[in-house]
Amino acid sequence: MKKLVVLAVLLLVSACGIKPTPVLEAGPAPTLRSPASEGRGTDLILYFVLADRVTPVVRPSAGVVGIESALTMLMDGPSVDEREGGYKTDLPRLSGAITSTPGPPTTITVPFPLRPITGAGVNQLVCTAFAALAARGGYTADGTVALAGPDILLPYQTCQA
Amino acid sequence: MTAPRIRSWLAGLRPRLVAAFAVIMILGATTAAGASYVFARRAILEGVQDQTMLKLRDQIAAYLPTVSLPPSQATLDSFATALKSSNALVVYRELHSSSILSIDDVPGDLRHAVATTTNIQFQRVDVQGFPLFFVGIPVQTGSGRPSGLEVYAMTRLTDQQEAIDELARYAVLFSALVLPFAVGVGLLAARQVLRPVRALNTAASQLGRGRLDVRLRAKGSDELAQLVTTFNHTAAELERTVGTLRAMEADARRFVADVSHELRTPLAAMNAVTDVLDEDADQLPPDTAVAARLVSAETRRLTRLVQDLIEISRFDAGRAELRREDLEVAAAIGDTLAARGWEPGAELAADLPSGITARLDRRRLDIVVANLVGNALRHGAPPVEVALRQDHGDVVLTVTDHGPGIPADVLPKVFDRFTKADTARARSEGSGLGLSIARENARLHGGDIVAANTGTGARFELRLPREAW
Repeated sequence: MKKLVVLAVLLLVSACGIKPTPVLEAGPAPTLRSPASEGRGTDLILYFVLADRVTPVVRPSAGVVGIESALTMLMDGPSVDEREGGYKTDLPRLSGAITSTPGPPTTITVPFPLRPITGAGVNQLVCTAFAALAARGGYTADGTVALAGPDILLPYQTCQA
Repeated sequence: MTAPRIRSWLAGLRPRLVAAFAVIMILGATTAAGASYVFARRAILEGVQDQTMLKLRDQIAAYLPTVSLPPSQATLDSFATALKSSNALVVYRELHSSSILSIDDVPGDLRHAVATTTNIQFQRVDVQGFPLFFVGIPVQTGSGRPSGLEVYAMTRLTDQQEAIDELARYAVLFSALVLPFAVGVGLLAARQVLRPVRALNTAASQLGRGRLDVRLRAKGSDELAQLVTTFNHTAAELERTVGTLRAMEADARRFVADVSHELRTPLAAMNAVTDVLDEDADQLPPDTAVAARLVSAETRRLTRLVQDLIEISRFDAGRAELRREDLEVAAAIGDTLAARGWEPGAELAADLPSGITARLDRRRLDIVVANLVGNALRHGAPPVEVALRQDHGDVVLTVTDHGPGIPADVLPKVFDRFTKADTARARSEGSGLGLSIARENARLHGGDIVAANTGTGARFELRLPREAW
């Protein structure tokens, strides 16, 4: 009887409000795929749109790929397999030379107008550029890049995951 | 209501039923509300925590490919900017991004856990009454070791706390709202149970007062209905038995009455004969004279017995008539004493104040007084005191003797028929019906006789109302 009363009181006391918890575990941490410190990354990372979010896609590649070729491959859009997986692109299918000038600021020049491009599309470009840069162990001086189109210049772009 | 009445009401079935219902319903409601509260709280907290963790993890996973180790301050800042919507802080060894969340705000336990494992860690802390949710996500290398890159995010659970507090308030409120409902249901159930119980109680008390024909209607087939049926059977059986007994008693009484009547005529003839014998006894031979006197005496005794029996069977049959007339009570009692030849003197002291009038049956008063005084003279010792007085609306006559008194075992049944105080004498002069008849007469007047011992003798007190009412 006494135990029951104690239990009831404990239940009542513990029943109210939000109680602090100790440190708890919840699943494995994300993995840094191509850490530059452990040798040059050999994977090519492209960013496509999956369920309205910019998501990285890993493509096997023979060697280190520069920013320009990574962006060119990005412009080609998701592969058949990736399309089936739900990946889309917000970028126009336009061929043309994409050039990058190392900074500061690191500037990526695209041959299509930037105004119609959505935020996700801009992120695709910026994130892929950053990933390609990181694969070589490099980074921009202030963590931003500038996008230059025939119509507009977008400075201080960061990858918004 | 006084305290004992409240206590007796509380001891009743109704408050107990109501209390039981209230306790059960409150317990049930509280348990249900408490359980749903606990589950809802968990759902709310887990919802916001899981959402925070998943969003941050996905954001980190998406951004990670753009990061190379070791990061510069600018890289950390861009990382933090990329995770801006999660309000995150990115740490790499001594470096940390300049975010809104300060590194000092992150709990030490969490930092330690994040630094040493490759699992996402979270902790809920309470800072000055505000619940905060911290999540720490370490970044592991491809070989499964901590990379040194850690991301922390903090979410205030204030909205959740308010929602949960509101849940608790509603749980308490609804539990409380159940109370009047429970009391109502309890009262209803108590009424359902108590109505037949009350009916049974009434019927049983009527049965106890002698109404043997009382029956209840049995409704339904529950335990109470069975009880009612049993009660009805019992009452019916009781009525049958009592009826049989009454019929037997009535038969016996009628038999006595019939026998008495039948004996009257031969006794009258015998009395005539014994009167003659008594007169002529002197001329008979001595032996025959003794026999004749014995027969004569016994015949007179038998005549008195038969007369008494006839009198008492009239009472039994309810055929005794009361003829009230205005009496000067003292004079009537005086006449009775004089007619029996009881003169006031050494043996008898009469205190009969005149002026007390009452409407009484002269003949019955005479029988009663003669019986009481005769008994006192016969069984008690002189002097016998006869005292009359008026007590409010009653006339009270006490007859006190100075004899041995009435034995304690006889006192309760001194007015019963054929009760004899002096068991040593099997045959007394009286019929054994005198006091019984006296009391029947007193009761016919609406009065009574009580007997008591004074310590120096026996006292009979006759109390008769002055007026019929």
